[in-house]
Amino acid sequence: MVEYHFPVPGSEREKEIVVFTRRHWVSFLGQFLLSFVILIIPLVIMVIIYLFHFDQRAFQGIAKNFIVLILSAYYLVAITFVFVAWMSFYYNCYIITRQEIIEITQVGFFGREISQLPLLRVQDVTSSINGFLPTLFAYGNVLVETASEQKEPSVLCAVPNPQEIASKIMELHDEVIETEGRHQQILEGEGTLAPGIIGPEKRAIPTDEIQNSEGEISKNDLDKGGEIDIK
Amino acid sequence: MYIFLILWLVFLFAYLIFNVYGLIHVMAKRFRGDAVGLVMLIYIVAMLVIIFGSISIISNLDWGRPLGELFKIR
Repeated sequence: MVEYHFPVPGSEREKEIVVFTRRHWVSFLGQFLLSFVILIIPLVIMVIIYLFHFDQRAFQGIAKNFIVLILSAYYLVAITFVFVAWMSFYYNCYIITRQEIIEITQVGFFGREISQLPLLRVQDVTSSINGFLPTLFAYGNVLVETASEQKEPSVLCAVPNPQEIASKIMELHDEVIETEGRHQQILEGEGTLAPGIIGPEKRAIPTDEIQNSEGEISKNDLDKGGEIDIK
Repeated sequence: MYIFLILWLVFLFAYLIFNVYGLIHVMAKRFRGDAVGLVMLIYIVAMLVIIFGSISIISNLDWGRPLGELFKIR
C-alpha cells in the first residue's frame, strides 16, 4: 500500500480530516444501470429466442462453438467494465482538512488524479443543486474559486449536502485566515484597504503634523478628491 | 474452427496480463481499511468462474469441423 502524504481514511493522519465525502451514488446510477444492462443483454436475447421459438438451429453445430467463445469474451469484458465503474464511484472522493481540499479522481483502471487546494487560497465558494434527481436526493456541486487567475475553479461534483460542505469550507477558510493572521493581507489583495496601511493604530496621524500641514495641498489630497479646506 | 480457439486463447492471455497489472496498481493505491479488497475478491472469483466455465464448455465441443460450415445456408 502506498503512503499518501496527505490525510486519508485509515492513515495515521486520519484525525485531520474534517469532511470526507464521495460523489453521491445517484450520480453513478447511469453507469450502474449500463453495467447491469450489459450483463443481462445476452440472457435476455437467449430467453427471447427460446420463448418465441425462433430458429434454434443457430445454437447448434459449429455456431454453438462460436457463440461460446464470443459470450465468454463478452462476459470477461463486461465484468471488467463493472469493476472499473465501481472503482470510479468508490475512489472519486473529496477530503477536506483544516488546511486544504484534496480531490481524488479515479480515471479508468490505472489512472488516479489527486489535486490539492490550500484553503488559504480560497476566495469564493458556491453550492448548487440543479435538476430533478439532485433535488430529490439532495446532492449537487460545490464550486471553489481561488485567487489564481490561471487555474480553473475546483468543482466538488455531485456531493451530498453541498450547502453544508460549502459553509464548512468557508468556516475552515476563515479559521485558517485567523490562525495565519492573513486577514489584513487578504483585504489588501481585494482592494478593500490601501497597501501599506497595516492597522487603524498606525493610520492615526499626529495632531501637530495636521496643524503644520494646514493650507497645503498635497498630491495625496488631490488624488483623494472631494473638498479641501484652504486657509 | 481452431483459428477462433487460438484467437480466444490470445485474448484470454492478454486479458489476464491486463488484469494482473491493473489489480497490482489498484492494490498499490488503496486506502487502509477500504472495501476494495472484498470487491476485488468478488471480481477475481467472477473472472475465474467465467474462464473455467468457458474452458469446460469449450473442451466438450467439436473444434475439428471446417469454418465454412458456419456460413452454410440451411
